[in-house]
Amino acid sequence: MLKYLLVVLSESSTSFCHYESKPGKGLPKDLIPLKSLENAVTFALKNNLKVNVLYPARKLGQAYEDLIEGVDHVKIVPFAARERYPEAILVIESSDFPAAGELRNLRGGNIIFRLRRPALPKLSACLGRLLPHAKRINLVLTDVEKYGPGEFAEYRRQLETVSARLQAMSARKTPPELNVLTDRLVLGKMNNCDAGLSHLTVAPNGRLYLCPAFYYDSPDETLGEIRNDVPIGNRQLLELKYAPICRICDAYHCKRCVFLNRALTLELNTPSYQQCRLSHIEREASRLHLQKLKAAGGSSAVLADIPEIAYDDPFDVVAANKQSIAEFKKL
Amino acid sequence: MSILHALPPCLLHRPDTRAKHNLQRVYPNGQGSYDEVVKNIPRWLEQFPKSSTKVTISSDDIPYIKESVLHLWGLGIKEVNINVVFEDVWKPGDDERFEDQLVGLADEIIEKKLYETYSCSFFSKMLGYPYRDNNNWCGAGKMLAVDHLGNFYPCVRFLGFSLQNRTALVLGNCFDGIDRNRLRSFLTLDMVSQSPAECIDCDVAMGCAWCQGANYDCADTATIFQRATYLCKMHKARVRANNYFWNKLGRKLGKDLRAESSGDGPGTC
Repeated sequence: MLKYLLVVLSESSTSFCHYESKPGKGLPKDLIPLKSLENAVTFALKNNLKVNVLYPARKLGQAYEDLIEGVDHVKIVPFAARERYPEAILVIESSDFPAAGELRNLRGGNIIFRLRRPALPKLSACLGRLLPHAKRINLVLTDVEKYGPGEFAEYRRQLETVSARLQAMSARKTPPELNVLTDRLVLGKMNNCDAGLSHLTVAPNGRLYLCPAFYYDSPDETLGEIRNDVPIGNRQLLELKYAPICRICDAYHCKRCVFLNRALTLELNTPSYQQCRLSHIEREASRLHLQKLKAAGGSSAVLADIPEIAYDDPFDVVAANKQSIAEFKKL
Repeated sequence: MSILHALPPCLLHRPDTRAKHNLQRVYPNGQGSYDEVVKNIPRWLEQFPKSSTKVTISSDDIPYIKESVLHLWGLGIKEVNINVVFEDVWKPGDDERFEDQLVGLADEIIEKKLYETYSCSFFSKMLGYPYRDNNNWCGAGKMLAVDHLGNFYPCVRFLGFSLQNRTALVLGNCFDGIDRNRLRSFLTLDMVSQSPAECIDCDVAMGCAWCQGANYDCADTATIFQRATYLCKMHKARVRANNYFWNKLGRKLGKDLRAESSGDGPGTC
């Protein structure tokens, strides 16, 4: 069931995930037509959908702002636009990391931190600077397709350091959350992106897509105009039940990105080894993080332990032993 | 290409079907290959006595099934593996005509005791029960087809010339190796993830085949996870003929050959 709608206001709207948007040209044609935005807002209102709006760095006209204010929404904005939208979720890029002075005025909100692969060795240092200013940080790794054994080992080391930083902050009244370390602690089932199931995207051309990444990758692969009962071919392949690797997995915090799936494995329902390895590095780091939190006492004692497992990619489990028909029917 | 694979779908001795063969399997100059193929079979069997052949049946071939199998056996090929095509080619009534052919073949096999010497994969004791396991039918992903450029494919059915609706699905090449990400879907593919509910719950599902390449080509989207089920009625017709065969043979031999767990008698005809 759809819960929210993503609206990409411009070709150059900030990316908030693995994909790359296009550099801004500042041209009026880069913006979604006002009529299309109105259709999106009306669709959201009729279907009880919240709207996540992806902003460009440039200023919008007042007519756009007025339309957006007419619906329950969340603004996701590039760091450069933080002063215009102080309540928005900020997107910070590792390639354009803010100076210390620029971070000082942040109000402790939500931050999306997009880390490019060359900056991986600086991950813990970057998060060390962001965490004091955030309520929650969603870390997004870009260039995932280029990750290999070296990056996996480095990521493991970086998360260990970040875990120590978070533990040092755990005595705070509201310690900050970091998706890749703290989400798994409180999840008892899969909490994936669910593109195409819980949300759809309205692109700058006014048409619908599974998510912004599909638009930027191939604008012709549209789901069509905004309308009820959006046709999605083989929609079941977006569901956990029809993903043989994911349905036996307990890396519950994994985004299970269907765009990366299709880009790397050619199938919407099959994750790449990079996605599985990274999620399992995070799972293991979360497990160790929880152990240390529990050892230090406090509210973490009530959280269920994360079991230790003998694999770092559920593909190995599934390829060796297919799920039974009876188990499938229970899902 | 071995002579095994050079055999036509229906290799018959009747003049009209000889002509049919020669329409499908021709030399570059247009001359039919029937006589050349048949001429070489004795040498092939002399060198490879346990050889089998593979036959594929489409709608127009249905009237010739019985004679085709008998003829191949008559040429000395003792094992005939045979299946209907997976594409959307079947016409109303094809299932009944197919069933009639198989029943006729069953009668001939039993009457002449051909089951003692020959086998045809249309008849199998394991056919026509509900699914017990969740494996994929097809071996795509556990083998490789290689083209003239050194590109790797899951099977020959994924090459461009085999596909009508999709582009080729390449797994890698002989220079860079196999893309392990592209292999993951093939190695984790199972029955339930690609089948509609009516197939998963089908009472006579066992033995119902699918082809991953045909699935990919026929699917609504570019996926190997959508099973083409055009042959559903054909499979059910085959199950009925199969039941007929084993029940009738069991009566003749005084054994319950149709019991799923029965170890008596031949496993296939």
